[in-house]
Amino acid sequence: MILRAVGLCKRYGDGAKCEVVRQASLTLGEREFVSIVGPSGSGKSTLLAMIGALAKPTEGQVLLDDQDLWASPERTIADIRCRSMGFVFQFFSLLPNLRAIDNVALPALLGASMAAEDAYARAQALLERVGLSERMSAYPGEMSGGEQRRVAIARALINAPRLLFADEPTSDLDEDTEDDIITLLEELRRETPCGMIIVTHNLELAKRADRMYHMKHGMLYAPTAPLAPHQPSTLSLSPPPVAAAYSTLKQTPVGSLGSDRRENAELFKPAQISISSRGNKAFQSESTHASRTNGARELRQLGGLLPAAAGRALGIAAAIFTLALLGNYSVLRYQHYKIALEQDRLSALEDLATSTLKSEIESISQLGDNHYDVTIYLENTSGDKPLYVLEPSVQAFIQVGSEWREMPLTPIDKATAAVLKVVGRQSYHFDLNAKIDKYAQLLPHYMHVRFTNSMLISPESRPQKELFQRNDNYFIYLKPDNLDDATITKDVRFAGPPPLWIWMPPH
Amino acid sequence: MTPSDSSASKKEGSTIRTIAAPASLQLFNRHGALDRRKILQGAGGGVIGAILGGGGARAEGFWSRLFGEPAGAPSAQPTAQSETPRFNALGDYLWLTPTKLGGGAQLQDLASGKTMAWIEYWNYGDSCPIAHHLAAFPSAEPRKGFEFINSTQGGQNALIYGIPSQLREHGMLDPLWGQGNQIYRVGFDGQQMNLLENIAETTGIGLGVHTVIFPDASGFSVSDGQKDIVAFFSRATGIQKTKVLAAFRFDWIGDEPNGALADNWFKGGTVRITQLVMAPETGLYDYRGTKGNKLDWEMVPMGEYLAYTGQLPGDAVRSLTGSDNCVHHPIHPVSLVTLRMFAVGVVIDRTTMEPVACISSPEGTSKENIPVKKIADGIWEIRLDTVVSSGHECGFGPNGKWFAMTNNTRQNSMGIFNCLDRDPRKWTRILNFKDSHWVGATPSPFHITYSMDGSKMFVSELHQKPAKSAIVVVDTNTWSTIKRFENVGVDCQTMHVTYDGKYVLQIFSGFQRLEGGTFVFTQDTLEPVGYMPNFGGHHDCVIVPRNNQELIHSRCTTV
Repeated sequence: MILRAVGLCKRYGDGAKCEVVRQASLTLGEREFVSIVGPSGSGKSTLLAMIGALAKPTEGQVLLDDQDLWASPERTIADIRCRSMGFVFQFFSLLPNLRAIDNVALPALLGASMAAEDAYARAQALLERVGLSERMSAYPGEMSGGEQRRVAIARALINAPRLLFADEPTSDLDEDTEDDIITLLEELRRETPCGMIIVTHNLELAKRADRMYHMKHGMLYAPTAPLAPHQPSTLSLSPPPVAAAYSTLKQTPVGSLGSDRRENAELFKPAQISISSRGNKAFQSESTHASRTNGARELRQLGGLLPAAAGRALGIAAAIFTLALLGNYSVLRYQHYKIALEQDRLSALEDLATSTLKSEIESISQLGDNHYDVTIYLENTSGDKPLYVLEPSVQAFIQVGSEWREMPLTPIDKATAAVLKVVGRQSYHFDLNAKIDKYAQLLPHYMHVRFTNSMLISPESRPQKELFQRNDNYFIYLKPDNLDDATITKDVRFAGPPPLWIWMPPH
Repeated sequence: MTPSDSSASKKEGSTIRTIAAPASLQLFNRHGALDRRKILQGAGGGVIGAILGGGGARAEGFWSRLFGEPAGAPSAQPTAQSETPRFNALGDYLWLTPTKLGGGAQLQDLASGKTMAWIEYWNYGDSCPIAHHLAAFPSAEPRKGFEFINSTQGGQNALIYGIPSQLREHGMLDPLWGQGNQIYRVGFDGQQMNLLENIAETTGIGLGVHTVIFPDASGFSVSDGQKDIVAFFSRATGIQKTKVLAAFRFDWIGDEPNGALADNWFKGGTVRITQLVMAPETGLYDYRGTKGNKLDWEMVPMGEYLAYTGQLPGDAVRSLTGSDNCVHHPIHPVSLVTLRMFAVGVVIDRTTMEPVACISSPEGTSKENIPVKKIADGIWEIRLDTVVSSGHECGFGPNGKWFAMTNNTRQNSMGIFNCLDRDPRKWTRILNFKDSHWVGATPSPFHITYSMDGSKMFVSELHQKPAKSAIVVVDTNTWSTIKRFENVGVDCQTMHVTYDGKYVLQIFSGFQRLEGGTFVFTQDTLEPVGYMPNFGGHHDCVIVPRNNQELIHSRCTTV
């Protein structure tokens, strides 16, 4: 005897104004199938709820293995409810955002009654058993009413309960589907080692039970008696044929079942029991379980699969991040490469324009009347490779006070060209008109003269890229035309005669 | 003058004008330029958004926290601390540089980038101070104080840079106070710089070029090619006064005084060395200010050309030897005076304060010592039959094994000498080093310094204006070029190695008119590090030494 209910009453409000269940008593043995039929509102579901530890009876006891269920702590009751009882409710109560297999595995995952992989393996097996092997990944919204009911049945069996309660398991189903469910429950009834109580208004289903109770106005009646109140004192109301069948089934050893049935019987045992078995049959069972476990791994996502899923997500993110960094690094390298190339080119151009090309005052000679032939040289030291100087522009200034005053400077011959092709050393002449009345004498008697030479330099005659603009300044002291050496040497001494011009080296 | 493009980057002397190519490559999509920032933002937003299930804004926030604000995003107000550039990788050193035409010196903290103190000599009555070369005495704690010597260049040098100056017109070229040749001893007291002594005023010897401290820090030399005088001084500190140990004047007596001016030197002649004497009645020498100037201008680089062509004004150009630097052997108590007009070095024994030997650097001259003949007390002569090139800077290796001198103008090479022997008369030239770029008059080797272990010689390579100078690194085991840093900066001058041997600092002055700064590269791996800002047309630089060992690697053995 697994379950014994004694004198269960359920009242709402004060006194007996609303007594939904009155003095109901019944027993349920191991592997026994009991049905309760009655019209709507007769108290069937309430009775089932009290037996199933869902609603506390106002009076009476529910004895589970002779232990008063409702006298136990709430935590124990919850544990019994979770591990020892399975429910198939009138409404499917499937979570819509979980797949069928997730819904089935969920009670095991929440109750932590087995490892996640085992839970999914068992869920997979149960779904196969209820004929949904192709619908494991379907969501409730994608399933028919019959399929959802099957899922609910499978869910009720996930923890291999000792007691299975089904409340109107065929309601809202069409005739064919209803028949399928009835057949399924019938098969399960034979296969499962648990006791089963079904509340239904379907007489066909009820008749398949070992014992059938009637319920009306809160009173539970034995099936063999006319609709008379059930006597709590006569607890054993099992009708002989049903009892015989129950007895036969009860005495039928598991090992004598056909292989499918044996396997299914194994299915309805707690998984760990099956796994721990040894011997050939047990080994077969173990192999089947292992196969399902492996197969279930692919389906696992809920709960135990979350870390793996998160890991995959992180891995993908890391891969994307790495790719982004690699992309960034590649772009960075490429940009650096291009910038370095550009810098090298500009540096080479600068080097070409400032080091390879040399320029200075080469000589100055007098032309008379304060005119001077100023020769500026350009020297390309790179050998035969020409350099091009575009827009050469030379100007001359003489210091007056603290300012530079521009003086006429006229290019002569090729110095007038717009583009100068420079190969080797080339000289360019300019006519400086230095007629000026008053000038600053940093070196006594000498004019302080500045030449500016602005050049655009390129290795190409028709530049396609940058040009280097070089602005040279040449500073000299220049002896005026109308001054004799004796006058100068009174104030400035030289190793020889006063030079016409003095180059000033930068330092 | 061609109008310059206003959008182009410009500096005096050169400008790059953009005509066609963009500065850098950009990829484009329909939302505009596609660059790596956008790619990162997009990818980052997608990834983080996928992880968090959040929107782009949230993802961008996460991204921003990880990698900083994206372009255009408002940033938090930066603090002064966060904006401070960090230079401490260069070490805990103090970087002392003259400001040339600025007329003073400045002290930079390499650990923080700050200028710790500076001094301007015109504040003390010098009407045309051109702060030239300097050298710092060792101090155990330079941040708490040290002293240094800074010479000022001949005052009329301000007239050769193309500046439309009115110095002369305004009477600022006073022979005593306006034409340089001051030798300032300056003290840094941990907070500010104070002028402690004008050694020219104290001793009567005014010189304006290289200041070089003895290896034992007991004294120093100052030289000047404008006067052809080299003087050795004892070290004074604080309010003490500096004393002259010995001073020498170098004069050239050419064999062809009346021919072409260049022949005055290249046809041979005699160098006469005269020890200067102090006037007993004053206790001073009579070489202050312009007194003793052979030239009106300092003996500038390539000034030899002006001497050859008669374009150098001065009272005694024909007697020019160009004795403008003097360096000290790191081990032996001898000093070497460079005579630039001949590229020879006259070695003076500091124990006797007498010239004892002469070595010649250019190829085509004797590798053996040239005799120094004592004519009378305080007078010596050196006979130079062969003069082939001028020279300029020089330096002893820190281990005292060799000595190098540059040969310029006509030869452009470096003479390398074995100088290990205590007797400088046994020093011989072992080879002439010539970099493949040293063709023609320029580029030419200029200033010299060595790595801390002496395994490398760093040579600044002077290029003609406006080109940027280079640095040549020479392996002193094989005497071959192992690295060149091109386009370093205009007018590279002296270098200095950080005493931990990590970095080499190259200062460049831009010919007083162009760019300037300090270029840094690693001593061992010879990798460029970058540029440090530095104001002034520096001709010198030192990292203040903390002891005599560090002093050897400072302005002591090289110029």
